[in-house]
Amino acid sequence: MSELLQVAAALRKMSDESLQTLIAERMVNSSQLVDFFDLAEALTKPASISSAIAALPLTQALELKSLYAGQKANPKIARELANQMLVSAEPDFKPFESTIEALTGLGNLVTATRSIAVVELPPEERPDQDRVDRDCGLEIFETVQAVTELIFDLENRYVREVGKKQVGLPDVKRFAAHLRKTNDYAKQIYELAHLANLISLANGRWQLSNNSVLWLGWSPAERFETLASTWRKALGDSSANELQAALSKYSGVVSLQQSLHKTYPFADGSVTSKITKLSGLAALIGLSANGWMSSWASKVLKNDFAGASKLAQQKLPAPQSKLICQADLTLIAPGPLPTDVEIMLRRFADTEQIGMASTYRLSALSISHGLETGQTVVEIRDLLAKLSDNSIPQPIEYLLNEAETRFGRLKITSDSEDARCYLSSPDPVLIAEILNESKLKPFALQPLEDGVLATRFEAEVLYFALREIGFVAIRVDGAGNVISPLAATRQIADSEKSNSTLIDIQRLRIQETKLGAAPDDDDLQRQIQLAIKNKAKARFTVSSNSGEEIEFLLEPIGIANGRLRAKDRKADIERTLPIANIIRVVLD
Amino acid sequence: MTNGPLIVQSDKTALLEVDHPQAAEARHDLAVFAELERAPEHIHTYRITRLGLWNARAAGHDADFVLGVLDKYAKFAVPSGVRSDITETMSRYGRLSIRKSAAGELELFSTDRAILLEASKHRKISELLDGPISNEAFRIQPWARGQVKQELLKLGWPAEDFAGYTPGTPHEISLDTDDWKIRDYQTKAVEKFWDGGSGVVVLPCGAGKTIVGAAAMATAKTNTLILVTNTVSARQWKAELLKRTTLTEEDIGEYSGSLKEVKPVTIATYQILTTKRKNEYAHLALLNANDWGLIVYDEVHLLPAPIFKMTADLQARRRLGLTATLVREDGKEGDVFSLIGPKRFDAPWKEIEAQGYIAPAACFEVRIDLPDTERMDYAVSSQEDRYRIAATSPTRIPVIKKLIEKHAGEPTLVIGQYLSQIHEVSAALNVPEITGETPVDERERLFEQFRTGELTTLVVSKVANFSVDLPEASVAIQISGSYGSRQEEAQRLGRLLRPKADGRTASFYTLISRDTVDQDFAQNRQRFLAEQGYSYEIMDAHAL
Repeated sequence: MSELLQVAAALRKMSDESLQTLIAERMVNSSQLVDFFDLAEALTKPASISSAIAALPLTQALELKSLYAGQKANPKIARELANQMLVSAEPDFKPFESTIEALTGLGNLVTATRSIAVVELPPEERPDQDRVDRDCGLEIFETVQAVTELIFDLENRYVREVGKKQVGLPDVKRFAAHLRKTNDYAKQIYELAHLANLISLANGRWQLSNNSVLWLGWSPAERFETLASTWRKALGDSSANELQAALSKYSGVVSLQQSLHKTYPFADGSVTSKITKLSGLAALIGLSANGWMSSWASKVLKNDFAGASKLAQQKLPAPQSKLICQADLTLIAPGPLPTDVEIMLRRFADTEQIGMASTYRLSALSISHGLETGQTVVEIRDLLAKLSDNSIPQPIEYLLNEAETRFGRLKITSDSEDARCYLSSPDPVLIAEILNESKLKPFALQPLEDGVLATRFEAEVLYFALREIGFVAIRVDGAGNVISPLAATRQIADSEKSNSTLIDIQRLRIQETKLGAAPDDDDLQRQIQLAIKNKAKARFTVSSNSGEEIEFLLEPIGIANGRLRAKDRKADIERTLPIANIIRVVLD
Repeated sequence: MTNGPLIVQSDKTALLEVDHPQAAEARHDLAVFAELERAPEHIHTYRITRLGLWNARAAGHDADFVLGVLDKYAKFAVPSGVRSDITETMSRYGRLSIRKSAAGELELFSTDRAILLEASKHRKISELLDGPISNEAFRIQPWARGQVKQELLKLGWPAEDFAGYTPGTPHEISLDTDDWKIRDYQTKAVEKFWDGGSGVVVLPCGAGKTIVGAAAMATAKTNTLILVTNTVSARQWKAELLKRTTLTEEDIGEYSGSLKEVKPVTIATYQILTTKRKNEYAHLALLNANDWGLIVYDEVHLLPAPIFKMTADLQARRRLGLTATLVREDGKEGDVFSLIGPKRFDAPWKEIEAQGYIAPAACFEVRIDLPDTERMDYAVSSQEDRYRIAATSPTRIPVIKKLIEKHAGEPTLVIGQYLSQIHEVSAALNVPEITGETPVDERERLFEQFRTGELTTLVVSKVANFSVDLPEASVAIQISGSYGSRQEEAQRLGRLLRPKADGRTASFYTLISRDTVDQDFAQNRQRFLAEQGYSYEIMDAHAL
């Protein structure tokens, strides 16, 4: 049996829970997998194997080295390796061929595992722990702010899934510009929010999960705890324990990078490696700064998130209820706002700049969003008056009044019966302007009676497209009630499930059932396809009419009409074999 | 956390709470290295830029000084990223320098061989060099001083220029202050400029930039070339120099489309310098026609690209740029820095206003509802035509009339972009118009009538946007503009900022068609002034 078949077979036997852990730890994108063969293929790719080996903590690395050398297995640790699909299941615990290949590539490291020496900085060259903590505190503050911004961004915009669980570059760029950070930082925030299950993919769109609602209600301390526990989960128990054990030997400020190097002897520092990612995430959520660990990081390793948060809070800026309203329609908070105030403000004001001091901007669109979520102009005015030491400038008053008068001038309704949605306004000129808007041409808006346009597109898609261009539209239900954008973006609990790893695993199981009792047939086909795709040689065992088994070493060219076409280099001929007669394929 | 007035953000902006007791002190220290980006009522935003940090290094300050200032006034801890960036950026300044060798040759010098090699191997810089002189120096082509500085700045290794300036042919110039007094900020601006060698002075319209030019000339006491935007401005400069300095008619020449005089002080227009004949700049010789010791660039934010190129060859002469705003719609602020020089002096408009040197101004945005027929025309028109339709609506004429009636007797400018609209408005109001088509003599006559009060209203095109001195104008009605141009809005308001004899507040109205692109452009146009602390009151035309 080839390695792919062996791995696929082992995967079939694993529990759903183990599969979930495997998929998470090996960072496999499960959304596109069709069957276990696909998963096996993803796990045995050289890059995936190397990355998995690089992420092994010291004890597992040593065990793998020992198994590679043919020594007796330590069943407990070997089982952990088997669960990661690096070695076969017990009792053999034999490293897979792909694992051996990857280990051969790491030859020097393998032999040097026990003697890795990390050069440590003398104490006088280490930074002051208080300064490290202060920098980490700033990181926590900024990341929590950025994640909150992402939640509001997804509430206000339609962000499509691009590629496999990716965000399109224009959306990344826009979000990065909004945060005034790099594109990579914006991507990290997406990744972190996704990892923390605050955002998810549903129907090809990045949406807010139910956790995002909780996040908005949480205090900064609770938000930090969530991020810290997310990181801890990604690190895994065995790694966390080993890291913790390594740290206990040191006093004073500790370098996370050095600790990671010690704990992960195979870590190669490549951008895609798990350790690099974990190290990057640790810096992002304020567990480390410039590579040095915060004083609360060790509590996170011990799963003491409340304790970590308590320490971290001392380094976070204290919230203050103060807002400065300016005539240029900006609102400036000269320090972090209390969470409830911030959330209320963000409903009717867009952020222009976030940081220790944040700048918000009012516009007709932002106020309409506030009104759609159930706020009233009176509440908005009251909040501004309460927080501001100065009176509300005239342009802000003018804008509030205008937004209130015009609210609902452009309405979107949908009709589930004829699968169309309708855009209506009492102002025919506005309808004519929308009809003439080139950016809305793809919607093929059809004029019906006076002041009504119809389209086959979903109401939500039209709603966001109109807002993107600057038309202040609202969605209303059949009874004429305003549909809150919050309700529209958060009614995804069901679709949320459809994108979880667990459902991906169920899909693999269902596919398995469909294949019936002869899964190997399908595996054979997949092996042949793989050989064709990679122009690889394979040993084909064919059953002849007389029942005799004959083996050929062939280079498959293609499959047609139930027959395999392949080159037989030895015989220097081209063979065509009935697929039904092939009983075994082993990639050479 | 302290109680300081400053919040330093990780994107390298610093927000200053204006009402804080330490704000004035902090502003003074920040001005050394940070650019004032926005100065609305309560919170001023500064940006810590590479150019700003290098300016500070040029003035003899180091990273410890900058970080010390930030730490002293910061309300929250300064982010470590900002700290390391400031240290790293400042350490790059002056590692390379331009100087003259003993043999009088220009050389690019550095004791850091790696940096010298990096610079000298750069494709664009190597073309400007003429081989190594030693391990520490490369010869610079005699004509390439400006370009080398430009390219080094782009590379991130700004060079200190120790090659000095030609003193120019001496010419006695003094300020004639018998009946006037130079203001403190003008003196400070000249001192900062002179100490820095070359650079830009940023002052609001009406704050006396010409006096700064004259005072710089009185300090340099040398042959001076003054470059201005148009002939009317050239003549105003001449009149002002005659009034404020000891210079006489014989000393000052005009080099424009109509006159070609080269005298110890010569005032030339950008247009004449960029005029081409047979694909060559016909008047380039002017730049070397005299041994200029000082070149003054008026309205430096409008400096045309070819003049940048010419300026690159004039690095041996002191250069003074004058402007009300460094905002360039073409984003060439970096070229102004490397070729004219760094910003040497800047003062928020409201600060000068508070000192009583420019008139207070109230700004109004008047929103006009277009009638349905016009709205429908607008709705079905192409994107390109929309602004024109919105901005030239005939519904503006009754609004203009109402505003003129409201300010009856006050000197009023009606400023527009489209000639046909200007003709229409001029005819409807029965007042004279000035456009690019109006002969210079006729323009001067009308401006003079306006100054003396013989005319109280003028309809003008963009020719009156800048460099026209109309001290008594106190009302401006902007009926259309160059789309979202921020500097145009600033220049137009600037027409009103000369302090009035009776101390009255100027009124600046901008007419906007509601729910059109006009409204979007207006928001962009108003940005610069909002950032200078001017707020617009929004009015409905029907409520006037």
